[in-house]
Amino acid sequence: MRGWLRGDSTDGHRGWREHSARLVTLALVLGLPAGLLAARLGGPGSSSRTIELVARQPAVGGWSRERIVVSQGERVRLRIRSEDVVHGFAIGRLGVDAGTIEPGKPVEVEFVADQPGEFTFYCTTWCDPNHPRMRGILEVREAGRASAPAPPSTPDIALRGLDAPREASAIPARRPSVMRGQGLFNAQCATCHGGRGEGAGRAPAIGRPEALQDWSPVQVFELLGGATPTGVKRMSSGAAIHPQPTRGWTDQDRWDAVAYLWSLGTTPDRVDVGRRLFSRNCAACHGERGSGDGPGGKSQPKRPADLTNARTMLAGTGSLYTAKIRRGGMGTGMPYWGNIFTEEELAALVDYLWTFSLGTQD
Amino acid sequence: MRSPIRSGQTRTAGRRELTRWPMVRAVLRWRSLNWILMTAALAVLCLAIATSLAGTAAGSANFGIVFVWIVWWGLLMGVLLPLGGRLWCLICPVPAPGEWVQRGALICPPGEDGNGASPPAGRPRRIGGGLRFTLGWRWPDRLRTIWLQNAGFVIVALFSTLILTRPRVTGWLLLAFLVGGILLAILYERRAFCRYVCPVGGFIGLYSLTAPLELRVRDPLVCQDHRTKDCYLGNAAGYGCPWLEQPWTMDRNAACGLCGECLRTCPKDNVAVRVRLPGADLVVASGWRLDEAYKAFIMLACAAIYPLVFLGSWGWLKEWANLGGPQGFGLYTLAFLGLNLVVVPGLHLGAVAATRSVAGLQGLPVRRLFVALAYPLVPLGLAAWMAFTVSFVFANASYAMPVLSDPFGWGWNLLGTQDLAWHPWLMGWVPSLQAIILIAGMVGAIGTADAVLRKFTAGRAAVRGLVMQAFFLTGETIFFLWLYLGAAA
Repeated sequence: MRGWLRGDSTDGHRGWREHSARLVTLALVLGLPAGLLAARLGGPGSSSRTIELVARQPAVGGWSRERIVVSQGERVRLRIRSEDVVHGFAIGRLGVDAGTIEPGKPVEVEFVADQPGEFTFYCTTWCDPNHPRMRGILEVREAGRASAPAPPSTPDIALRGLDAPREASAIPARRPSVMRGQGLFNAQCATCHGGRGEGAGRAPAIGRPEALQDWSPVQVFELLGGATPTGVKRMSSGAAIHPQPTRGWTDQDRWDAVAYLWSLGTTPDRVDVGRRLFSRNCAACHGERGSGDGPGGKSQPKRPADLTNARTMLAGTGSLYTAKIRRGGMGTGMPYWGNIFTEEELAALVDYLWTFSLGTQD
Repeated sequence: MRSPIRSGQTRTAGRRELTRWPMVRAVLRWRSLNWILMTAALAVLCLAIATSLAGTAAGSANFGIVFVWIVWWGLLMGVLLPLGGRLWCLICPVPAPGEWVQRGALICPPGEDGNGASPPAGRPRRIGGGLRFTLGWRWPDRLRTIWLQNAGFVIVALFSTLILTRPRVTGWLLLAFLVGGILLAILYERRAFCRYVCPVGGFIGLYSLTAPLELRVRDPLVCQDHRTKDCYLGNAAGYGCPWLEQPWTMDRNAACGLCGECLRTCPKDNVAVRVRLPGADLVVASGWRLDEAYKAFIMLACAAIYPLVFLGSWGWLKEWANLGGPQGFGLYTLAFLGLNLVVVPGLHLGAVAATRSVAGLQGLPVRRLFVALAYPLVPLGLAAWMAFTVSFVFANASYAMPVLSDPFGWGWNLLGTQDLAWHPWLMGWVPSLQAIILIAGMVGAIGTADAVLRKFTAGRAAVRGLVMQAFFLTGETIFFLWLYLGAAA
């Protein structure tokens, strides 16, 4: 073998030519790929100041690191690249968003880890049937502590009945109109509740965001019709029914008024935040229009919920949907979002969900 | 020996000899030419294998996928094959390591040490000179066809959706080619892999019959009087034909790899490279064979299936072809094999029967005409493949620049071209170009059919046969025009 590499020959010219050819061939054939691979190992990518993160489809490993540990106050620079399809990167609750990560186009994102705790980083672009599982933990440790403090506790939620079947006793015949509802509200309700539902006298302030959190639209619909709402024994005022039932309103009038009431607790900007969150994180499975027909849903164990189904949606409350999003689907394939979305983001997302069935925004 | 030498066998009419020019002759006879071309190509191949196996799984950002299936394929089908026939085989890196191992040398010709051109008197000379690392077995006679290549191509084509889009699969396939080339070179004499096994070599050989380039002996009578047959056995100037060709009997391009060894070894300077009108070899009746006819059917069938799978808008078909599920892929496999091996040959048989009937060729065995009339499908098939190639090469060629700077897809920018955005080239011209190519293929096919039929009959019978053939060939062209410009556009 050594002789072959040396190009041994009885002919000096032949030997020289063969020798040169063998060296050139080895250099080109083995040297080129080896040199490039070596450049990668010794290149700037291995700098200790920059944390390399490789995104791969969950089927072939997901994130190259499941946990990244940094110190509180440290300036963190992440260099993220995709090895297969288009991914995305964001860190929940920290507001860090690197946008999309295209193959061959690494993205760098820099931030100061000033808040101790554990934060979930996740892929924000549907990349694989197991995309929702493409998550990792950023652990921000306080100086002198061996581990991050316990994650902030989420507000107590009533888990009981979270998965109970829901069915509204009535649904609107056509999409409710917030503007019509506003007119009806001003004519008959504003006297007691105030023009924006701010409340007056014994009439509760129903325009505050939290006011209707535990009410479903169909309960309010029933209440406006003079009936005791399903599942409600006593209101905060102590009465079982609305003291001033609306007179002369059709069912559609009542639904329009409900839509207006639901619009009082939010703002167009908040709904827009919810729309963006939904589009990026939920639409792949639930569909861009919320009808549960997104391409990602096909690979889930259970068909994603149809958020446009008024019969089920109008029977749920804001608190219920917040809890469901926070907890996830428990076997349905829907991931938990409680450690990613802030409370404000959760509220914005639920506000946007109502637009599918209630027409909160005209 | 395959056939006796006949005076005047070599045709020179309508040909222009390139090797009359000293510069061309010197370059083609230069011993280092093959090594330079193959080494450069081997470096690219090794890089393609490394990037395919270790680089990004995104095909459009992986050097292996982009340079093999877009750049190389585009050059092969768009330039090298239609203009140079087996010119790619002169450059191809796949057999290079095996051949070097076999010869024990990269450049130098066999010496006088028992591997060379002048063995002791009475001792048979060892074929090819070196043989330092080969058992030198003779390739089995019953496998001296392109049936293995046909089977290999069908298998590769069946899984092409995976191969063309997944770098890892491409990487393993290229590695298998390389290892296969080395193993066969160690076991068998010369380039048995290229000639009888390589799936790519099979169709290149068939389509090189249409090429306007040929290598032939100048005067067969000179060879008749020359007893040492250096072009086949080798001498101090070069190796015996690696392709197991006997240049003095060659009357078609199919198995000549244009390596130039015979130009170097011929002591009579009796080998020439010429340009000529395309398609001359298609009507060389001595070369008509059933295995080549089936290669023509397979290529034609694949040229019809590929645009449907790759360019069409039928997601379910892509899903099936992409191993989306056992049932879907099973159906796709059945349809693919059925179309390649039964439907297209069956349709051809019908066209042959009709032609035989109207041309009064009932006395001619059906099989003979079935094989002969497959050769008009060669220019049509080549045109269909070129049209298919045009459709994706212009659209995707711009991926080549970024991957030069970032071959593994790791975010490098070695040459400063990594950020060049993808943009399709000349897409407005593509349909017109495809139509021109397909119509040119049809003209070539009808011309070939005319020449084939005139081998069996003449006069009005030949015209009637040609009309029938023209009818079928025009119908097939219209089908391909619909396919490329309509259905899959």
